[in-house]
Amino acid sequence: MVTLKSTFALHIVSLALAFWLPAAMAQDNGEAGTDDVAVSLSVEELKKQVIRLNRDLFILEEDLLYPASTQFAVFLSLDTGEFLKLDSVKLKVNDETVAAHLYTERQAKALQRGGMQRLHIGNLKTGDHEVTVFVEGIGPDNRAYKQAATYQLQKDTDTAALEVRIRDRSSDYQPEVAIVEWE
Amino acid sequence: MIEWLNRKTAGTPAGLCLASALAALLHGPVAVSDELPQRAADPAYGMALYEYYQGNAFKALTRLNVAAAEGGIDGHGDHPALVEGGLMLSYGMTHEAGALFQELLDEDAAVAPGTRNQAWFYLGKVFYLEQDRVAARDALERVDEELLEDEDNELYNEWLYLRGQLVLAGTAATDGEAVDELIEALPESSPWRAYLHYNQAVGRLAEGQTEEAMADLTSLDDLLAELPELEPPLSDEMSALRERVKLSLGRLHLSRGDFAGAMASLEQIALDGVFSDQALFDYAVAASREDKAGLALQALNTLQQRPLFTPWLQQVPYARGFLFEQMERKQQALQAYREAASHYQALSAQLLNEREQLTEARLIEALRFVREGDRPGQGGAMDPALTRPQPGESTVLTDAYGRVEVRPGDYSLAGLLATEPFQLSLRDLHELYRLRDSLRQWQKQLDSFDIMLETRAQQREQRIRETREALDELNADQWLAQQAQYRREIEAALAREDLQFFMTQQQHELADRLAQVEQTLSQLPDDESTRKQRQTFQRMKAYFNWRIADDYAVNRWAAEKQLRELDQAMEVFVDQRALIEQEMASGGENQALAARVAARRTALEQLQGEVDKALSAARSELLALVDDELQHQSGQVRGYLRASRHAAARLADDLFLGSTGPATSSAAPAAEAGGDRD
Repeated sequence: MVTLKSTFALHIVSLALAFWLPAAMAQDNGEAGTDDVAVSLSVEELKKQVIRLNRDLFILEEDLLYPASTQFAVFLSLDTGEFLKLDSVKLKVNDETVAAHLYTERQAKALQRGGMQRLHIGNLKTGDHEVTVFVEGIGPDNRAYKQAATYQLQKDTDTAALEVRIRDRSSDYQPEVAIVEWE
Repeated sequence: MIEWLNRKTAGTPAGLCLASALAALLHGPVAVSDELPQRAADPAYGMALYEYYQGNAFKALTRLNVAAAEGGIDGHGDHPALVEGGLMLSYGMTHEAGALFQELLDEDAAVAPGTRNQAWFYLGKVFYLEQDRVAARDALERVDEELLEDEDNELYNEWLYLRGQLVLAGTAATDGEAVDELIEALPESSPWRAYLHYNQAVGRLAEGQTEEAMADLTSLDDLLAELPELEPPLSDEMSALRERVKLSLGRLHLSRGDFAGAMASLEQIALDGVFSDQALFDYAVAASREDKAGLALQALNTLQQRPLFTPWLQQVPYARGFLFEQMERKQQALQAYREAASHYQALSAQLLNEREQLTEARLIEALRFVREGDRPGQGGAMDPALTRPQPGESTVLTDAYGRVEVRPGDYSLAGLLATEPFQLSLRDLHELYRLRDSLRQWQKQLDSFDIMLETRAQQREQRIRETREALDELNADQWLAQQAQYRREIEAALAREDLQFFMTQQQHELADRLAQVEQTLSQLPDDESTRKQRQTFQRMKAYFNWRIADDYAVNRWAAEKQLRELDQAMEVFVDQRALIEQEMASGGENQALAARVAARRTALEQLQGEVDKALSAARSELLALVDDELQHQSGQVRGYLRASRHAAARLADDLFLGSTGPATSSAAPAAEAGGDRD
């Protein structure tokens, strides 16, 4: 009986030790971690190279598909977004829908915090073009909000970039949608 | 989240794992200051921020790299560098992040004081993650406390926490600041405070200061009970921490022999909580020592009905036998020991089999990766009928440091899964699979670029053919010859001052008419009338010649002007033709693009080879860890098996002796108990 008791008691002790000795665990982990450092370093180096390659492919793709002389990009930003919970956006160029996007909560928050989404990238020939954006969401007092903005773009042989800027208008507590051109 | 915390806290150094938990909880992908401009002043930076705030570290880093390659980011000062460093940290590139923060801290770098201050903070964090505690302390002590608190309160709280962790790990602050002071400086509602407080209790216990540890845990329990309503997932995290505190208190009472106190603490832990298995087992131990065997048995029976998921819970079958024996229910005890022996026997064989057939596929099969949208205890990833997420899938959830969220599908891996080396190996494997998938995707992209360029080359050939035909139709060489002929004739006429050559069209016509008149007059008879006509003709001719001579300069200038204009036009034509010929002869822009595609393909193939090599190394490392763990578990199970058989044999002997009297041999019950006494 004495033996049994001490066996069970031994379990209690070992259990307590396992729980209360993080330092011992850290030592064990330290030994196993030596090889891991090497693999992690190699993975880190690979990640660095992969990021570099991805960057090159990004640039290559843009050069290939959207040459500077015809490139046309539209960005979207949300300045604070207190008066609008953004749901969706539709973009038309010369009456043709070129982009439409439904926003997840995470995407809308990323925009609220200062992120900028590239809504569209494409090619446009030189000349006059009409760009229209339709913004939908939930506005003040939880009411459905829908607004459009139009911009007359004169495309020359340089890259053209527009920004759909949604911002809070403090004068009447309403959201405001505008299209501005980046120089 | 609770299971995740359990995994994190079960086997890692408390500080590191809790720091990771908090970083994931409070900051999402990275913990760079929120003091950002409302609107990006540069679309390139805006796009990077868009990915960054969504937790897409890889995409955000790529965007920042693209921006750097295309001339940098305007209007944001050094902030992009801080963001990039933070992203590198969350993407597991600690070395690169450290180098970047050090660059920002270079004495010659023109960096804003706020950025420099945060760079010191992040550099300290890098060193902390790399477990270089002295360097971490030195870097963190360079942070301007007031400036950080003023600029970013959350970072300031994390800064206090990290400094506290370093003191707990034995790296005292140079100003002698104690952990108590750091805890007091943290707001009561801050999770950083709760974790630092908890880690302080753990540290005190390790040093044998049980009274102080008990006081710490009790006050922390009170603090957590009074926390205001929190939003998930923070509320879940704090509930899990409170249960952990109660479990710790229970075990502390247990180790001090205060079994009633242990039972009182452990009773408060939810039966469906993440720590309920440990709590039930500890409760059984406390109750048995408090001579409340019934309660102990009840706890063990509850555990017995659950899947014996963690290796340490394998003690339960043996413990049941022990309790029956303690309760003087010898027959039931014997039965329980025998059942325990068969359980351990089967388990031992299973572990042996698993070791023999261990492959990466079997290992992955035994793990349940958590996919975005899955909830603990629900279907999704845990439902075998559905397609299980695999390592490398982009939907598999990871924490702020890239560790994958995974649950054990096989009890034998539960303990191993909680260890840091296994977590790191799994993270590497996951990352490498992701890299390999990205490379494969880019391979396809390059293939499509090739098709695109080939099509463009064909279109170009077609256009060249059409241009050549058009040029041929223009008889360009003939035009050039004619131009040369004109030039020669004009130059010759100039040399001999040929008035007639430079006559205008009208003058030519007049000259022709004069010649006709002269011929007509020569055929007329020589009478008075003819004579007068001839005199008139001579006057007209003299006037005409005078006019020609007078107009010579004007006519010559007009001809020379036309020649110059023709020369210019021909020059443009010749240049354009040369350009077209050159363009047709060279590959054009397409060729340059094709060369870039080819260069990227070479780089990609090289990277693919390196990723495959790293994958093989990560796989071997992971399997070696699993093999070690299975070997260790086999040893443990063999120990339980021996103990169960010995107990069964001894009890069978007792029972046999009790029923037949002292003269009977003990050999038969030993055989009944299973025979093998090893």
